[in-house]
Amino acid sequence: MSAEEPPGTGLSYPPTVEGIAAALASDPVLVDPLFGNGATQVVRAGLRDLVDAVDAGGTAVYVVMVPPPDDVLAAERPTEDLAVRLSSTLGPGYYAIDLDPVGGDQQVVAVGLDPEVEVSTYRVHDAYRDDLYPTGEYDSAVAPSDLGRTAQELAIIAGDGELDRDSYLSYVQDAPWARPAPWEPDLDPPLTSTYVAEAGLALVVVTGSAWILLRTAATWRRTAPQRAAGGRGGGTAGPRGGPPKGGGVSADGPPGIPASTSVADLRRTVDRELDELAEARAASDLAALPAARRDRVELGEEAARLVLAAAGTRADDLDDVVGALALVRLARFALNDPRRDTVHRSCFFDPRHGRGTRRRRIPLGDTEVAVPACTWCAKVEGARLTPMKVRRRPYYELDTVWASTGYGAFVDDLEHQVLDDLRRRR
Amino acid sequence: MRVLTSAWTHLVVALALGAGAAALVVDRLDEPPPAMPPLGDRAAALAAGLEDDPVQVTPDARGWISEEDEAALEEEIESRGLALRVVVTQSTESAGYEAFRSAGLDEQLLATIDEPVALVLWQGPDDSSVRTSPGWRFASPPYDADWTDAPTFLGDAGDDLRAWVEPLPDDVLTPREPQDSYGGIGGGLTFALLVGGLVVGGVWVAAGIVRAVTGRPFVVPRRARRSPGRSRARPRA
Repeated sequence: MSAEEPPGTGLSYPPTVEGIAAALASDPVLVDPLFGNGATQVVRAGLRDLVDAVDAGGTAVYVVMVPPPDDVLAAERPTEDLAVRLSSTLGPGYYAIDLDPVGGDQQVVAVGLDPEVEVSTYRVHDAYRDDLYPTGEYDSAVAPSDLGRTAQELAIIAGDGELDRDSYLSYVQDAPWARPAPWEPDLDPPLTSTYVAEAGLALVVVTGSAWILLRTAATWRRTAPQRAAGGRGGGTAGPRGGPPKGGGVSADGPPGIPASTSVADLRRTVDRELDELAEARAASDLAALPAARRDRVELGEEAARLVLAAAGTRADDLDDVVGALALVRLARFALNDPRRDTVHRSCFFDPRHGRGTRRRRIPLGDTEVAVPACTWCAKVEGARLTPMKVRRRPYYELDTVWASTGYGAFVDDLEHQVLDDLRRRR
Repeated sequence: MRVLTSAWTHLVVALALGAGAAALVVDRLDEPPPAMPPLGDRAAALAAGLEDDPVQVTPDARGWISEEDEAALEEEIESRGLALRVVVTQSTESAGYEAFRSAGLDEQLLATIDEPVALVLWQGPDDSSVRTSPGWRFASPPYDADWTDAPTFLGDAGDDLRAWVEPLPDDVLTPREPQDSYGGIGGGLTFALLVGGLVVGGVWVAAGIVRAVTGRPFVVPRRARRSPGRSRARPRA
């Protein structure tokens, strides 16, 4: 579309109030390209349609969108001043006036109209406000242009105070009423160094982060908090990450007495099991047992009592108290299981887990040996094995009878070796 | 399923993801800049006028500069062959371009003029600017305490515009090397490694914190890094 008045051919508007009034008398729409949203002719045609629609209701409308005339207007409310002055020539009616092309001063002024006839536009504006500003705040990026605002108000007046939502919004969003679309002028094309820097950054960040996340995920289960972390302060504190689950077999942890059980509690357990052993022994006919098993019952019980008597309740006494536990169970097994001549072997990794009914191969020097292990220790991944610790070291690295016997894992005569050891140390 | 937990697999997957991200970035950098929206009537008229006349004054701005002064300015520019265009007009937000944001009149006109030029947009005594075509820099005259980067005058616009144009060198444009904000390929590489390393370090610390608060060791222990299956128990029988 071409401009109606190319620059240099003279003003498109009269510079005086009198001249404006004269121009309006022949054409009620006076819009300079400064106010034309880049499509002055289309805008003029659209405004004339709106003016005709209001005229059909019997009220005159004049549209004035030009820079301020040379005549001095009231410093305050110049648009209303101009409307009143124009009405002295043109008579009562609506005067849609915008004198500031940079924006903000657009106004439709009703002059000399019967208040009964005058149409208020506020109700419609309020009704659609939320559609214009979804955030509830005024937003200049989605607000109507001054021209669109004028068109909205004339349309509301033409509709006698009514305007449907779609028409209302079309004066905001559709050409020629909408604001100009934002445009970022073309910048310098990106340089090689930009490619290197930005693609390299993406490569480093995504590769590094993906690696870390993948490795964390892959080792997530293997590094889970260790429920049976024996030896840490004698197990008086639960493992980090949650309270210990109840004792007994767990789907995700070793069976038996939890490693978090305190040494004092463990002592009470051993005491109780000793009492039970004594009752069971008294109730059974020991003489009927083979001599080797009878010895094992009696010596095991004796060794357990001696070990327990020598041990305290400090964290460092854990291996001795556990030793007493292993001995009690060894004796109890010899007493209760008359069918086979087998020796009770505790779980090598932690006798608190109970009987080592399975085997697990472990490296020993240059070779491997199979040691008894509870069901859990036999099948769990190597990294999750939690050998019982005393003084922060696996018990089998210490110089004790428990290390040399593996609580009976390596020997058939645990009770003898323990008694010998007690005798030696006395 | 050991292949799923193997460090090599993870390395390959991580590198593939990183390469994908880099390819996305390259793709975005290669996108052409958005096309200029069509000129409005006013901007189109000015662009047409500038094709054979280096000074354009819109009728609404005639009060600022007389036709004689306009002709004298044209003479000055044309006789010296300056790559300079001057537009004197009133500022407006309501003519299809934005006065204060991008998509301004000067940018639209510069994008329309075929040859590289410097465009003086004079929209009032306190609103003037000089913009150059992309890839060019405006060459200021030798130092002069009275000369300003853009013509701002409170007196007669015609006189002052000419006074502003006269000291300009004949070549008002000098080629502008594209701004290399990374300082070359080495700089770009350093940037990527340095900033990328910092971000990855942050991710590592964050992952460590997550591990720690879930009761795991902050650093993945060496023994957990290898694939599972081997006991590390060392009994001393």
